[in-house]
Amino acid sequence: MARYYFKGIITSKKKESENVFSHTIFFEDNKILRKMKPGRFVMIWLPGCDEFPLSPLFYDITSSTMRLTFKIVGLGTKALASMNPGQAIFVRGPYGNGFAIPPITGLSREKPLLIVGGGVGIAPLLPLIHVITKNSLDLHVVCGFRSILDTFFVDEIYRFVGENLTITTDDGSMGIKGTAVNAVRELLKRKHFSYAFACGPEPMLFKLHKMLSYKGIPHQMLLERYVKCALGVCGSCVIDGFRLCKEGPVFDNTVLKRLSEFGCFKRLPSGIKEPIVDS
Amino acid sequence: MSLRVTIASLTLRHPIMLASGILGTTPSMLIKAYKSGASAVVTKSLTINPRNGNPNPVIVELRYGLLNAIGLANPGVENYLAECLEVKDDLSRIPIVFSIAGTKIEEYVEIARLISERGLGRALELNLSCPHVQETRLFTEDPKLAAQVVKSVCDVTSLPVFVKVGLSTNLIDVVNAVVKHGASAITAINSVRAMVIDINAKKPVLSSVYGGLSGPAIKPIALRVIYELYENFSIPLIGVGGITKWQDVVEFLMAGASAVQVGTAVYKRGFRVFKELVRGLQRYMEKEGLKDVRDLVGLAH
Ligand SMILES: Cc1cc2nc3c(=O)[nH]c(=O)nc-3n(C[C@H](O)[C@H](O)[C@H](O)COP(=O)(O)OP(=O)(O)OC[C@H]3O[C@@H](n4cnc5c(N)ncnc54)[C@H](O)[C@@H]3O)c2cc1C
Ligand SMILES: Cc1cc2nc3c(=O)[nH]c(=O)nc-3n(C[C@H](O)[C@H](O)[C@H](O)COP(=O)(O)O)c2cc1C
Ligand code: FES
Repeated sequence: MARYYFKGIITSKKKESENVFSHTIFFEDNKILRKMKPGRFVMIWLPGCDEFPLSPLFYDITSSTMRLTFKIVGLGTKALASMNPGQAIFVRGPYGNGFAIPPITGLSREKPLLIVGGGVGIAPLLPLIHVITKNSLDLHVVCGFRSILDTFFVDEIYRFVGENLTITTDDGSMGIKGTAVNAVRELLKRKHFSYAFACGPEPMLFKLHKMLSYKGIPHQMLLERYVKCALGVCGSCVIDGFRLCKEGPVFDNTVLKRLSEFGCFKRLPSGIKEPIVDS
Repeated sequence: MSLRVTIASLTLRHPIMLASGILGTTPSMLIKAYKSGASAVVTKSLTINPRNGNPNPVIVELRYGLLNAIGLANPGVENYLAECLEVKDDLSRIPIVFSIAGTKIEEYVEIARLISERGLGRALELNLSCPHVQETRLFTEDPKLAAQVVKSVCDVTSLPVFVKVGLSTNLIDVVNAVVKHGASAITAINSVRAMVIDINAKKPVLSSVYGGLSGPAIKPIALRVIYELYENFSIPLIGVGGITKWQDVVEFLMAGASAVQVGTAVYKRGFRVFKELVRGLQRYMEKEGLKDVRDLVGLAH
């Protein structure tokens, strides 16, 4: 039988915040779940509409389900958000490298680790938080949002790390007023982290990368680029000489520091290089 | 042992090049492909204006190849050249073939002129055969039009002009026409117009319905085209279509290709495919007691 995509049925839907939705998807064939790992991504096809990449925040072979959390930014994500339980979506993948865990051999269980998420970038970090806390390592999580209206997953993450969770909002409506980067800067004064992971807007990641590198803390970051094939042939997702869909989307500090485009340029669907602006 | 081949004024360290459209939308990747072992690299086909290409989905993975309908997504020739100039020193050491696509003769000519002026390329490859962009397909169907494009482009450039053809019924007439009007080599073949339907979604997968089939599925067809062109013409031929193993390279050379291009195999094996193919070719030549790779060209005729 010719099968190009795995058919998934939406079993539940949740509005997480103003613009962020989650769908739980059930797959009759769980093959697509077997190769999942934190930081890998899948391509979601909505026939007649669009296809785009998302990183599942939860996946489980036993229940044959996956959970996707996404922010409405354009037509594709809007269409996905308007779908309801019982409806089908089509999924291929997973693709990409994912986070490397444990990141360093001989990692001592007491050495504190840091995870930093910005906005919807927190979603792909959830399975990582889950895996790390399962091994009972000392984990600190910093999540940055624009305002209290945009927050989500706060309770979930609190359940994993308790008081080690720091929330920031740009307008101070919840947690510490300021950005996640500011909070990390303060945290670094008090604590020595042995490793860090991050995902979020690229200007935030770039500032974090500089800060962590200065402190000599090795790290991995999940980046975003325009994905067309996800197979490593079309060149749409290239950052310098690296294909985000194959060698990424997670890059470690040794690669990040070699990327001249990181924090500065992204590419439009045509391949035109466009400056990244810090909003 | 010599693996050196010459196509018009282009001398290559060995016969295995990177095909157009494979990671070639950014100069950084062309440099990487060359450093990984390709003897020459072909850019993504460039158009006069930037193109977003078709909406997603634009690719389907098949057991025997790929079906793609990227739709000639590219930053446009001016943006591309500007980016090339940023890495001019690295690029100038690499044999780059600039691929050109257009909807009108004037566009091919203008792009060829811009590229030739900048002095970055070693050759031009006219894509007359993208199987899912209607406007470029016309050129490969009509020998008169094909001849006109080639002639007009040759008038504005001193670079060798390769003509990339696809699978068409009047291929011999088209090639005859372009050879007479100044083509320096023929690249064959482009991907082959095809489609797939997802039976669960009950829809064609590609947003544009039709796409181009590449990879092992089209190898015997591409090989036949090269063999046939070798019988009919004495112009250098560049074979492309489904080359995945060193044995495929040898087959194409024996059919009459002076060089080959590799596309789809990069998705399975990455850029290391170039070194693997070269090593295999070398071992075969050793075993057969061949001193010069050019002795393989057309051997099966
Ligand atoms: C590896 C990876 C993992 C991701 N994981 C998540 C996630 O878990 N949750 C989430 O909310 N978002 C995630 N994203 C971002 C998400 O893919 C885009 O928000 C989404 O594609 C927007 O689609 P659209 O059709 O709604 O927007 P459009 O209207 O098509 O475009 C709006 C913007 O979205 C981005 N975008 C659109 N299509 C693509 C594409 N094919 N590839 C990359 N970016 C695109 C571009 O920046 C574009 O300018 C991820 C992106 C990548 C590359
Ligand atoms: C993703 C993709 C994009 C392509 N884009 C182009 C292109 O822009 N111009 C072109 O002349 N050929 C293009 N091709 C065709 C290839 O250059 C080549 O002719 C074809 O894929 C057959 O070779 P292969 O089987 O080794 O891939 C593309 C092929 C693929 C798979
Ligand atoms: S999306 Fe990564 S190479 Fe095509």
